[in-house]
Amino acid sequence: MQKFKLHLFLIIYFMIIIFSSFLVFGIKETIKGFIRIQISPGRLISDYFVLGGIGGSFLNASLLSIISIILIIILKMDVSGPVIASVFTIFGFALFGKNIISVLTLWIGVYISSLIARKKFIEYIFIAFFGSALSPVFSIITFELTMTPYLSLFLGILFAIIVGILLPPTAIYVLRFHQGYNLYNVGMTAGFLSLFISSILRNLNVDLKLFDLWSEGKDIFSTLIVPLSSIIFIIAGILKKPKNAVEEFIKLQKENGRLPSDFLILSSKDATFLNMGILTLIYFLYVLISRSPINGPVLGGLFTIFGFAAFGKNIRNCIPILLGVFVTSILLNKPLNSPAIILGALFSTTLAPLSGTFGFFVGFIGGVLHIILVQYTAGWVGGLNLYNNGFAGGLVATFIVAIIDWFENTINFKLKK
Amino acid sequence: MKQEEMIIKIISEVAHFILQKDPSKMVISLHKEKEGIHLAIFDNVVRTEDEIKKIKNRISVGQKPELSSYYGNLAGNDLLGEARLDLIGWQVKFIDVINRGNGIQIDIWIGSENFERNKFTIPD
Repeated sequence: MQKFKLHLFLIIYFMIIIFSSFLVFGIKETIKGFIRIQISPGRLISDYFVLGGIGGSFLNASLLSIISIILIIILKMDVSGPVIASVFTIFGFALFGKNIISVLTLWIGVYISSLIARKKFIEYIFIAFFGSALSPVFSIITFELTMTPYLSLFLGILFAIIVGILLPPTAIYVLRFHQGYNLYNVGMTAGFLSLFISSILRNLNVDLKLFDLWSEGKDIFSTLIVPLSSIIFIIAGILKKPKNAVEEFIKLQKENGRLPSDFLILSSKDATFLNMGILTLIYFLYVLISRSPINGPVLGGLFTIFGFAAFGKNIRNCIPILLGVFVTSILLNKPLNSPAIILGALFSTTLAPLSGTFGFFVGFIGGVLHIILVQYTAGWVGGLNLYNNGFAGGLVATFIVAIIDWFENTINFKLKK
Repeated sequence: MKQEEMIIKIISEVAHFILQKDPSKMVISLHKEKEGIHLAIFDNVVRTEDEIKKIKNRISVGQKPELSSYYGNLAGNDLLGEARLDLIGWQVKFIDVINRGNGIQIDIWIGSENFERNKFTIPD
């Protein structure tokens, strides 16, 4: 039982969200919204608050997270940094693009891939979890193409499984491009695969115009969920040994965050919980200051930061990136609360290892390049890749790493490490 | 990952780690048999007990199949950034660091279930 204490903690956390949704939005409305989400397309940007209501969105997100944790228990895995990162990323993106069937079909594909490679499924589990970025592949074929419903469903499942099979070999190879300096590696992988998928679909005359479902998000429930979650984790972090937790938390800020940096191993559980709570609160404040709506996609960004604060992100390596994004947005006269800019600000933290390893200036430049690029990458692939920032971040990281590598190998120029 | 590829990646990552301290001597020994492999890497850099402890903490992570098959592929691929012995720690049966006074010895054992590492050691 002791082994599963953290698993239980996370399951209870998501159960509380489900019960609160029922309580605030009503059981009938919540379930109705949840069902609507399951049978709707979910390309970028599909704010599920518009599509299925806030209650239905949180039910979808919490159920998917609980299913992930159950899978983790079945595979007898400990709750580690990557587990926390993947579960909260799934939760966040299930507020704007992922639904249960689309995610499960991709997991089946990754499972088949593990059988082909004669590996255990556990060896590809994080590729499966993060690979659900390509959920829109299922939904576009099933719900957007004009075919008979059964044929659409069959082809949707089939293509999602094929994509799932292709994910592990591609994800493993793509790691080498950016060498672990892009935290959302599967985001880059999904972007890479989406280039092919979207081109095939466009050649078949499928219209891949981006969606524009973006709610104003002024609801009190969705506004409170992030600060409350952060405070719960901060309290859980400092409950037993507050002094130790704070000391470890300060030490944790020295970690560069390069993939894979499991803060639960490199630091401690308490310091990691503190890092999750404090870093997410900082970004929540930024969301408030920039007057951005607190809707499905913005919450998705905040919960992804929450999760990755256990797997690579800390205050020291994230802030330079945010400053790069902020300054560029101001100079280019882009509204800080427009969808691409606020999502870019939140998800640009994928580049945290760059500033963690090479210092403030490189992190700042990473943020600048990221926000310039990310506004266009979603259009390249017709919104098929939910981790659009992972794709743009991967391209930026690959570019910067290539330049630094070249400098170091030619003129013996050393950047801070 | 093919065994040869795995050995090359491990040697590359450990060599990266050793060379960061600019030693004047590095020796790599490989003992391969049917049931397993013993890799021993030596250098002549004197390290403090604190440094040895830090290295041991980083490598004593135990086998982690959920990480090794995916992120383990980063091992030995590049020389940009710090060398990371934990990438190796997940993939191998056992890894240890011995302070020899005039340098360190990193022992790495890779093997099947029947593998007994006591049979694979380098005599002093």
